[in-house]
Amino acid sequence: MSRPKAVIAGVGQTDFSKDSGRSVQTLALQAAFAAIDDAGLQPSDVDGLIPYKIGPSSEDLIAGLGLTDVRFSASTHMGGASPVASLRTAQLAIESGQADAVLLFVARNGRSGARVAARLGAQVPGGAFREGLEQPHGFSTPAQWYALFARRHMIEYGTTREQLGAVAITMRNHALLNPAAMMYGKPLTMEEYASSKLIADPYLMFDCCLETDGASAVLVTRDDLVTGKTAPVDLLGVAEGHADSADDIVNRRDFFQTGLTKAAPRAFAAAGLQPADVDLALIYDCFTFEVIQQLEEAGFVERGEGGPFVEEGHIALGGSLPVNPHGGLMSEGHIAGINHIVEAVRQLRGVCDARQVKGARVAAVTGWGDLGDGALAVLGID
Amino acid sequence: MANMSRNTDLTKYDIPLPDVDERDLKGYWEGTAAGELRVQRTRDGVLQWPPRGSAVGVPDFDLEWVRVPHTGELFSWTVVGQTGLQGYSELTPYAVGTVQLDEVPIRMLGFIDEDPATLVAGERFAAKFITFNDRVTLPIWVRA
Repeated sequence: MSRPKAVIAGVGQTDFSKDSGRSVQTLALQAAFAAIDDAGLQPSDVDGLIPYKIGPSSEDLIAGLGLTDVRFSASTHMGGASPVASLRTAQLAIESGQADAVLLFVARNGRSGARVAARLGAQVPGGAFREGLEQPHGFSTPAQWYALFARRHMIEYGTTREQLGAVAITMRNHALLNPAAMMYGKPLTMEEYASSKLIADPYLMFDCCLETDGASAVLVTRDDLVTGKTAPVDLLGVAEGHADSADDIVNRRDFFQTGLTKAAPRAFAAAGLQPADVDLALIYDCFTFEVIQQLEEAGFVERGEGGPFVEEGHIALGGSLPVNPHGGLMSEGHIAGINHIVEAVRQLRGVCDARQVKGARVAAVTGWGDLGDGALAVLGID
Repeated sequence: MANMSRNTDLTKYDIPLPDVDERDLKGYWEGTAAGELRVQRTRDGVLQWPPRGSAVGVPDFDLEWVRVPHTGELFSWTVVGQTGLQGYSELTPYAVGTVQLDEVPIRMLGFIDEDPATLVAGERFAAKFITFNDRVTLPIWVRA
């Protein structure tokens, strides 16, 4: 008997808002039912679950979906890199025969409920360093941590405010083509960007991602379970990586190295492809500079070239490497980046209307979490 | 003068103070109380910071705390405009950043008590030890 092959068979999503008015369990179930239906399958077909570290659990979904024999569950603790890394966990479970249909899901009332600051304590590694060496100095948020990277990149490579702004405005322009985006119908100019309030210089308010209520789910199954209702998407290569000194940013000798620096070559090698073969990229845009940094560390451009690359329009729809056609975490919504996987699948299926990247066959999706954990998935369609 | 420290009296603000009994950092806080920056030194003479449970990659648990220079160059920083941290919410905008210490391959992070708009990479900085009580002394950074 040949080894089973895993594919992405279905994706599902709720509406994204500032106040969902419902529980995270309800949000998770809405996304889960939608993903299962998208695949043309039944809830009873699901026998594996991968929840996010914070939010509804496997048990919540077993109960809510009425599952009677879940035989695989796992969780990846890599912050926002977890959903992408979890694609590989699902793939491993299916290809080793431990499960047939594994559902990844993230659900959060990220704006109306526990906001980012409240979630951090439960999630971020190196707690003693955060509490002893950072918070007493007024240093306590991801915007502040990553601002150190952005500032240093400006010092070493001359990256500019306008280049950061180009990322924010490109994400917003894309969201104007996505009716499901939180920022649909809300254009952003460079003047509005540059005059937005200071959060953690160089980060202004519009350098930051949104906080969102909503849920997304992705169903990975054996390829022989595919019903034909929607086109399956292939997992060509998925890998994770961790920066040196993974529990502390300050003393990283290579200051720009992240988990993605190591994950990307592994994922591309597994896929037998190069960054240049990618038709579109879904980059974990927690902040503007992290898009530039990840374009560099994933190998799409050389270090130091990311700023000019975004400023010249390469990442816009119609550019040489369209990034986040849905508007990203900055303008569609922030569901820990699992919404990037959903968008990649829809783009490869060719169902994205005004924001469709024409003829897209290969997509790369990055995840970035905590102090720079990284993951990259190369997805493709026949 | 643009280059004068702000001389912020942090002891007047209700900022989050460290737990100086935290086991992995105890040696560091004993150092700051004595007016020194200290880091771990392994049996092989390697300096490591932040402290870890063993020599990195080596089963050496016999780590001692040694003094390192408290001067260096400004490496990177942020200017905080908004924070939920108690005490610091009254101090915005303020700078916090990392200094590459002289002579040793170590960076340390701290509050920068200077006008945030005037900071330049590579500037000379020195630790200034702020005593909050008989056990807690916090090293912040001012221009050398």
